[in-house]
Amino acid sequence: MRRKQWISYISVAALLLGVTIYSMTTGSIKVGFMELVQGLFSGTNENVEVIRDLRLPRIIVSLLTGAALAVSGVLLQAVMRNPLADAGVIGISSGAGFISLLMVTIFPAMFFWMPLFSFLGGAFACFLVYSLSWRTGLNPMRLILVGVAINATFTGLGQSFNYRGSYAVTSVNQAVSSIFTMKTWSDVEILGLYGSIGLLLSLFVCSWCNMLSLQDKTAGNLGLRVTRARLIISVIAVLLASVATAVGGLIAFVGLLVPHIARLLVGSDHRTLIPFSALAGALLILSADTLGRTLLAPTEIPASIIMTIIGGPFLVFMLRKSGRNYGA
Amino acid sequence: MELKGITFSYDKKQDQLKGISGTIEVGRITTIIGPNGSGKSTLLGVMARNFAPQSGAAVLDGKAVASYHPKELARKLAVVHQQNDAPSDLTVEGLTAFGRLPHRSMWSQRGQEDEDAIEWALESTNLLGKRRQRIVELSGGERQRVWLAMALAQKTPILFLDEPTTFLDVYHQIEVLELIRRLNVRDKLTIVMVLHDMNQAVRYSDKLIVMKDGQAMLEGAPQQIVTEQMMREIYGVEVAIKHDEQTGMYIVPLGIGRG
Repeated sequence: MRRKQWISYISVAALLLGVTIYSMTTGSIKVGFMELVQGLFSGTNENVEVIRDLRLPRIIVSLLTGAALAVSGVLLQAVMRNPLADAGVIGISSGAGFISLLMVTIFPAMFFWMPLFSFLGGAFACFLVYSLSWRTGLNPMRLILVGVAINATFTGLGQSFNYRGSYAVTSVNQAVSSIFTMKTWSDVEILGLYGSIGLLLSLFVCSWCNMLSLQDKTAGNLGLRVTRARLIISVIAVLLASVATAVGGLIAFVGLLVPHIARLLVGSDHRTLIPFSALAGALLILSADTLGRTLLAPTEIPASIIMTIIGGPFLVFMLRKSGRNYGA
Repeated sequence: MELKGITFSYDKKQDQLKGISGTIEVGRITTIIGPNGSGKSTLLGVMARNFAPQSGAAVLDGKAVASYHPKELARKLAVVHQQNDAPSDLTVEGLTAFGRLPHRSMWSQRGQEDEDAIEWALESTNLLGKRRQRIVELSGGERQRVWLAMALAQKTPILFLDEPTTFLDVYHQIEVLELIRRLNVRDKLTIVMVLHDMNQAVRYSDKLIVMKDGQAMLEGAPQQIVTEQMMREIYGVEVAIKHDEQTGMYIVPLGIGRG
């Protein structure tokens, strides 16, 4: 088991490095790896300058978005004790997307505050899911159903904006789709700051997540303040999901797919699960985005579409293969 | 532990516990008995701080359990619940190690004291040979003992058990009860449990608390309070109380009374 964990960690890290290098050197402009490294340091190679301005931020945004979404999935699954909980499924991402779109439409000057609105929207959606599905405790089935309803509502509201103003609102359109094409270093800064804070905080709540995988009562008798732990973990999950949505747009399945695969590979102990999911999530989104821009070049397929196409069948495959592990 | 007029309601309409008072004696085995729905497990839940009482308090070492820091309480009092969930890949030792969390800070590694406690808990529950097995692979009796091992690893002077023998066959029922008695005699643990079986309660307890309709009706040594009249009034069952030379008092149900 230990061995399998190490192999999984090393493989995913190696793949991540490989895909990152491949992604940096491939595309409409192709450069060699050494040329790229030299160019980045000297700043004299014109091609490398273009890559630095356009491709590099996109790669970093992909990596951070993937890591943030995957970890937010792990946290939500722990806190809601439900293997189907994911920011995309229960409406946190669409809440974040809609509220930020709404605020920016009303107050265009506050475009800079998008991540904050996004967070508030995500938190609002999360609060709605909790409060509407909580009775004497968390019922996993009711929680998912309420989440799906919340998600549908926010998605619909978001789409009504797009539809009504399809010619006028194109500039904010990217908030609710997920094309990484136009990402700049300022996007990297936002995501880098809030995403790293979220990822770092998630490492501090590992043992709480582990305790929550027992029953609430048992966790309480082991000295955990269950409600407070739930609240803090939820806030971290919402932060990660909403900042990823604000910058990367809506991407389905990452928070669902990655944690499930990660559990099969490294087990359910959150101390190993959370870092592994971050790496695997980054790998997945970067691969999807790289595939999307190289497969039918010069046409681009958004990473979110690639994710949906790979994600659906893969999830079915995983569930069938490991049916008994997911007893729930 | 002192119970001082505990009143508790799940829905604030009907009280499940109606002003319960009593004493849990240190170093003894106290068993809460009573018909279904009489509030046995609820009372244990209030005593373990799983539920906050509307009025009254369970007082441990001069302080209401509700006002303890959760970790501090988890070092004084451990609970084995009736039904439990755990991730499917968790091992026996892995779950037992959860019992050490109240003694550790967030980042500290397992120390020698933790190792000793885990070793002792596994040894006491006869699970040393199974420590690397996954919990899902265990039988019902073994699984119950793992949860007991986790509670023991907390190294608390007080242990609560909510219906520890439910779902087990008679062999494993007796195995768990003998184990509990051994913990009481050898390790001087104070034990409070909820049981359904009157004969087991009589045989393995120093003291009984008899509940009905959210009230503590009787409290005392089994030999003093278990009578044919008590069984009729509390359970509505006609019984004969006999004595066996080896095991002492035992109860034979005869039939259901007329109410």
